[in-house]
Amino acid sequence: MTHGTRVLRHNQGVVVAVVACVLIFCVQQSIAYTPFSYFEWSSVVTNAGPLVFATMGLTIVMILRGLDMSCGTTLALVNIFVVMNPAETVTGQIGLCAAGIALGGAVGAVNGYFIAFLRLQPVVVTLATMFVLMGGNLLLMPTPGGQVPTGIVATFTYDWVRDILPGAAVVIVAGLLVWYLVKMSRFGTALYATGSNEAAAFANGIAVVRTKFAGYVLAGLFYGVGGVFLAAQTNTGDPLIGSNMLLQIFTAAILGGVSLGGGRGDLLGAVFAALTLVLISSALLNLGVSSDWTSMVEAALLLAAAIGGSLGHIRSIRSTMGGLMPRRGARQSRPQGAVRPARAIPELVGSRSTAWFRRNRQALQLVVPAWSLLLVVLLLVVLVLGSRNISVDYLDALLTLSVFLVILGLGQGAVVMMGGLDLSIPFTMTFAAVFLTTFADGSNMAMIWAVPLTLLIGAAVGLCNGLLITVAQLNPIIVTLATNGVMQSAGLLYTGGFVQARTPTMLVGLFQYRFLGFAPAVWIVFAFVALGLWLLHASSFGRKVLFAGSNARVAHLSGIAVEKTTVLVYVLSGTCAALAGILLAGFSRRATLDMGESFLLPSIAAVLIGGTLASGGRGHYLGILGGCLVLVAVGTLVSGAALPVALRDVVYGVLMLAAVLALRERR
Amino acid sequence: MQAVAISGLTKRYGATTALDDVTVHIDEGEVRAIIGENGAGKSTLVKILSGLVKPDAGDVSVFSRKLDGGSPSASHALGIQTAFQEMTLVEHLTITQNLLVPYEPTRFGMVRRAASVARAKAILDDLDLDIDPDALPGELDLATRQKVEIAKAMSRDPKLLLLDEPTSALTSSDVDWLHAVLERFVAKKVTVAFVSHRMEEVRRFCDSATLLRNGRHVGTYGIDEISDEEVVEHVIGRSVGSIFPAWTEASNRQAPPLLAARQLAAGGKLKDASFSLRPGEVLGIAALQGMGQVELFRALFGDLPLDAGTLQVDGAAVSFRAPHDAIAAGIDMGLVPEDRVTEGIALERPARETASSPAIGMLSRGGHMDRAKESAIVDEAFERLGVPPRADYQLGRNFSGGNQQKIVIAKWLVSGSRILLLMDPTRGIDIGAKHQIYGIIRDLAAEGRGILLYSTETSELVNLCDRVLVLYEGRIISELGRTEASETAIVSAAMGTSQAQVSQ
Repeated sequence: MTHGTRVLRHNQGVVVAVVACVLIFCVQQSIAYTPFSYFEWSSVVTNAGPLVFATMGLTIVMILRGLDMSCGTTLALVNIFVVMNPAETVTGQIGLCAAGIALGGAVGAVNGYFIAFLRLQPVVVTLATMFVLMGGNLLLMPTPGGQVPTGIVATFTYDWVRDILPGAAVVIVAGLLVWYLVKMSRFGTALYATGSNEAAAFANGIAVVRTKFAGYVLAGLFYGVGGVFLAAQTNTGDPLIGSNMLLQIFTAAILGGVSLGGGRGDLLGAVFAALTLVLISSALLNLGVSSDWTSMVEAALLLAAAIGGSLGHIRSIRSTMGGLMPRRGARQSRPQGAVRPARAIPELVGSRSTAWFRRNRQALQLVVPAWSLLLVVLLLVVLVLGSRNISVDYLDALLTLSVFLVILGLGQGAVVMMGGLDLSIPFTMTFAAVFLTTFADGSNMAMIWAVPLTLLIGAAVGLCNGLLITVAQLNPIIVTLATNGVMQSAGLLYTGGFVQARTPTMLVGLFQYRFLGFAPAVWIVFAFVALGLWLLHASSFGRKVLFAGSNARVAHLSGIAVEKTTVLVYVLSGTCAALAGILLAGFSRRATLDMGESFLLPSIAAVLIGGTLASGGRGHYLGILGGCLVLVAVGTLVSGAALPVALRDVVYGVLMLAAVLALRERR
Repeated sequence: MQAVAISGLTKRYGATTALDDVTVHIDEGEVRAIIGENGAGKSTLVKILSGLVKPDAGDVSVFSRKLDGGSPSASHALGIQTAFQEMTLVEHLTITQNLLVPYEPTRFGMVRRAASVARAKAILDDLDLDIDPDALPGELDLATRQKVEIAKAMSRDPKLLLLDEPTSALTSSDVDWLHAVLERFVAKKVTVAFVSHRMEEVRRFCDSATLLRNGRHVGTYGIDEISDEEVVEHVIGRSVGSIFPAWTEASNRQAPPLLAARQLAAGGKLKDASFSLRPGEVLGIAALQGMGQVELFRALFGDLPLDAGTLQVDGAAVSFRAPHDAIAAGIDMGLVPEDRVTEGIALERPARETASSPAIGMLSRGGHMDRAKESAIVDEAFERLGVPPRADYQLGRNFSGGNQQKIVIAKWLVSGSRILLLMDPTRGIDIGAKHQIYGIIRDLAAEGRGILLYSTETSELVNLCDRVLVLYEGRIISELGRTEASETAIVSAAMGTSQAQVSQ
């Protein structure tokens, strides 16, 4: 192999990103109204700036074989930090930029501390950070607004040399220079070695813990620059911008050639991938495509890039599908010895109750903490809101508000027990609500068709998730993030931007009326819980989920159809999301295009607070149920005490992290 | 002067005690063999000296300086360098980077690339290795990677050089290379600890031998003071005759084969394997590391697609798309995989669930698990194999290696397997459990099951098998009948030195 081809192969991802960028540029030019000008060039670079730096940061984390869900919200935090601190003088503005960048680094340090030193899973830690920041940003700045010091705006967005050199390009090149200095140091080698094979890196004498921590801090610093850039570019502060950027940043990072397996990728690829995304949106604008399509296009790109990156791993679709289809011929019953009664286990002889405890200790360990926490929260409710608030009415409200989370908890819980994560819940749920109300348009009779159809759509979303994860062997987080984007666009396109239809009265009635003391919806959930408990803990499906979630390889070698079970778990989650969406439309009496968004965090938090092991294989639906009630009770506490609602997200994020930490200690 | 002084060293992993109050000294300039069976504690000792793990109790000092353990760079600072058996080459770094990391030459904090490559070239030349320093480890074969691993340790000017099974993937000419380069270190009075279980190499390389059994130090001897037979007896703790069950012919030579493989090729490494397995027969597979045995077992079990060849069960052609097909009724295969912790047992689930995992379909009706039936069948299997009854509800990780392996074997009793593929089933378990598993293997064969057994312990192949097939570079190069299969014959055939005995 010659040196040249070897260099190309080592940097395959970057090459692909550059080629993609050039191709898109050509396409964009062929449909542009005006020939490419300096103005257009500078505006592309300036628009791409924040995304470029966010992608660079995420790429560093992914080289370390990590994931960072908090990237977008960190950018938003730095953005509003810059807006909220006026700086008049030049030194003041430089100081403000530096402080903003350092703030990003500080968020990275928090992530890095939990991930490197306490060895928690990157996804869990950064999700918690994301939710704390989502709430925190809103607490800091409840509504968008404010202004950015002009010096900062000028530096990042004006020309440094008139008609030749846009400031944005200088900043991006400077960012790349810093990266190459880092990459060429021993720390750079350590970064790649740790991401590639942590155990081998450690055996070689690399300080892997410090390397990981430093990697997250470095990523945070890049987010910091991105946040300052965002402030300069928009010249305002927006506390909500972060979660919307998540899909974009992940798309750009994967497009830039970084692999989820770690140890590969380069920030140059990230820069070109971010530019590609901006060029694509400007091409779409030229084509007159509605911005409703944006997230669908990004999602499609993300999936395409992820599939391209893992092409080597794709097995023939036939062989996988074979596993999903019923087996040919009836399965003969196997010769078995006569079934003998279970032998009395000596350790269990003695009191019946101690035997019961011993046998069920594992399950109790998962269930008891969440319910104990619920007692604590209820006690707090009494203390803060007064004892008269804990009444039958309170219980009724608590249960009614828990309906959605309890349903989502079954799907998300099954997915997490299987070792995955479902981020497509928010907009699957939203689409279900929007579709149902629009389709039925207030008619109770129409629900006969609308409800099953909506549930089928949810199942179909789950089926897509499951197939992409098993057949195409993609990471669940990437896949469900993408389908979430697709469903967001689908909702916008289906309704044209707003929902006019009314919710059928029957659906509203599920929450309006009382039957034997509770709303009919609560009774539905009681039945749902019974079914869920059987499904996860007494059926052969549940056994396969937990067993394969504990170790998919062992399960595969025991003849369990792991891929089929994975697909079914996502179908379950999609269906649960749709059901929750339907009921939410009834509860809210109408559907809105963002109504599911606030349910993502609680669905994950409830599962983890409920004692489910984040890496899969351990968990109990009763525990998740306790987790759901805890979160809803916290919600009532926050609203009852007239605290800002945004505080709820902060508490949820902290509780989630604390639960994972506590579980880790007990192992 | 003492190079290494170890006293009272103890290390536990969960329910297993890997090292138990070990006290050993090594003099400076000595080449010391560390001998023991799989799981005797050799690797743990190496890992503690290399700084990979921290001991639970005891003191280690190296050249009179105390070693706390748990930090590879601290071990490096004491002059300890290790060539690991599970190699530490990083996939995405070049050979140059792998050789030098984390001590690459720098200027102003930046790694000097040209100087790095030059240094790597010098290291490889010095050790007579013709390897491209720009290559990635994945481009090299297993033996070459092992040589790079050895070169890395040797190039860092070690005062104490640890070689952990350095010849496990090496052929006989590679072993000659190792001998030649090691001589130079011996001449420089470098202390060497050589972990191995091949007595021939130990006699060739070492001055003395430390014997370990079940994590305990059973004695240190000058290499000339002790015979091979005595070493084996010390290492096993009893005479070879008493640990293995008496062998009785269980296979019916007239019976049609249970399993017949014709010219199997799979996964690139397995190139040509043909054999048949009769009911009641224990058929051994002998091979050095990476000779295609993993691919053979995976392909037989439907875990790896066949590139070529045919497979017959009970005389009918079969093809498996997944292990599921191999386990299915009518075929009834079972696999005890090489690494029980990652492939055999679910550590975070009750052991009962592992045992019943291949039989979930059989144990459920209408999607509902029949827990009573499950417990009854699983308990029966556990009782027969001597697994403690608490396995009904306790998590897999709460059991010792030997019990975990028995739980894995229980899977195939529960599902009623007729063909058992055993991949190094006694790896890392104590002598008592080994003895039990040997008995189980012969018993299962006596019931008319066919057993394919791969083992890294040659004595197991000699004493348990009816026939032994030798796999070399993906091909079966010889077949040794029970009377021909001595340890020497198997080892020399496995190293590719004798290819004369290929029997058709």
